[in-house]
Amino acid sequence: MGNKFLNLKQIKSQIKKFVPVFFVLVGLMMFFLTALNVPVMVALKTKIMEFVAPVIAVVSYPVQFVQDKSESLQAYLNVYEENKRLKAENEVLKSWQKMALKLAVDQKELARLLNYKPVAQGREYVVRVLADYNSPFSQSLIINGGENIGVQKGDVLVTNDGLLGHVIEVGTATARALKVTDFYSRLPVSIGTKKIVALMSGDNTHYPKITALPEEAVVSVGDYVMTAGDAGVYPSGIPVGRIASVKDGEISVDLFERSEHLEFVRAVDFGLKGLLPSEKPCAVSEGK
Amino acid sequence: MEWHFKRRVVMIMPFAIAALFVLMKSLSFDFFGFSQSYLTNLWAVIFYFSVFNPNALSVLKVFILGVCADILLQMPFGISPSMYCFMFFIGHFNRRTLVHATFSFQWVGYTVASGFLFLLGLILLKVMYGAVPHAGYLTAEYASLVILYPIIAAGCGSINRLIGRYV
Repeated sequence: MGNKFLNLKQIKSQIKKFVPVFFVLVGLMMFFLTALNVPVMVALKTKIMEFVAPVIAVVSYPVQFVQDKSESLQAYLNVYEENKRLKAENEVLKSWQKMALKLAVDQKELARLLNYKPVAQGREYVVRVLADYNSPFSQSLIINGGENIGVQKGDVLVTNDGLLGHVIEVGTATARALKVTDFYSRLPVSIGTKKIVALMSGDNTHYPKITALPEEAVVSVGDYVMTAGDAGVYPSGIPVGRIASVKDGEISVDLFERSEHLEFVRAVDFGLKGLLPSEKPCAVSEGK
Repeated sequence: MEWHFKRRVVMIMPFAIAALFVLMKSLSFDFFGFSQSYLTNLWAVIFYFSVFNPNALSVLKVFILGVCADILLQMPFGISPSMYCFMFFIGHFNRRTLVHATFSFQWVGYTVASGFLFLLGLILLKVMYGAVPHAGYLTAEYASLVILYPIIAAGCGSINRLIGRYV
């Protein structure tokens, strides 16, 4: 009896030893189900994100404080170089300002002549970035705003520099956005003054590639890249970047938006349903 | 009453520190170009406690940490919990040998285990997603995992001694 009890105890201890294997298998199952795009896994991810988000929000404040101090110290150490650069930039900007003022007058006059009615700009709101970890496997970010403030799938994220990405998952108080640099991002763009339409494909680096370019199209380094407005995800005319290099048929884009540490971003609802159908009616289409 | 409260706080410390590491890693932050993500060596924490005090950081807690890490670090869902639990399993399975071994032996054991899991994770990601990070990133990540082990182990050792006083 005693031996039997001992055996049971031993068996129990042996089973206990292999409990981690069970968890390894559960993890692997989750991994394969996610890879196969099972919708339950997306819902589960969103739920967990909702739960974790408030904690990140609290922790990010002191981290942001240290980050700001570190950046100020770095800026202080580089003040001479920075001043020189800013002076040179200021000269260039002054000439651009003159040109912009002249063009604004011309544009106003032409709009009056053509009786042009400006297109609605879309509803926009500023949201805080909770997590912006540029993983080598994924380029996305979590924002502090979801259904509670009206964030919807397909809302476009922009910064003062240019396009950042669009919202792909929405929870109650958080949302996840896919950056244009993500491996799975495919963005219709127009290139240069000839407005050549092509696709910009993310590759998880800061330099996405141009694909699906028409055969006869000629693209040069420095050409502006803007959203083309095709596919109904992004409206046309949002600045994306410039052509950085054209080598052996591979064209890469230097993005305008290259911030390493985003704190706030603007989410804009242009009312485009596109590839990501929303469960709720869009604000712009309702005339809000 | 006070003793029980202190005990609870001390017992929760390994998990709290591991969770803080995950949170810190998720916040994009660097100081003069040195990313804090290299300092937050979660694998070392898991390995240490799986060998020296598996009750303080149980496999369930490790699994939860992995799930949170995947969400916050934008990793394919499920990869971190499986890798972390595998690390726990390796440490736990070889407990009797490692707990009495010299520190150098433990370090070598950890280096081999983390190297194996690192490669396994990469193979899984390559097969399922076709994406592998560039060599520079991988080298820095793995080097930080191995080099920082003594510092992390020393920190975990202090916590473990503290736990010992309340058990």
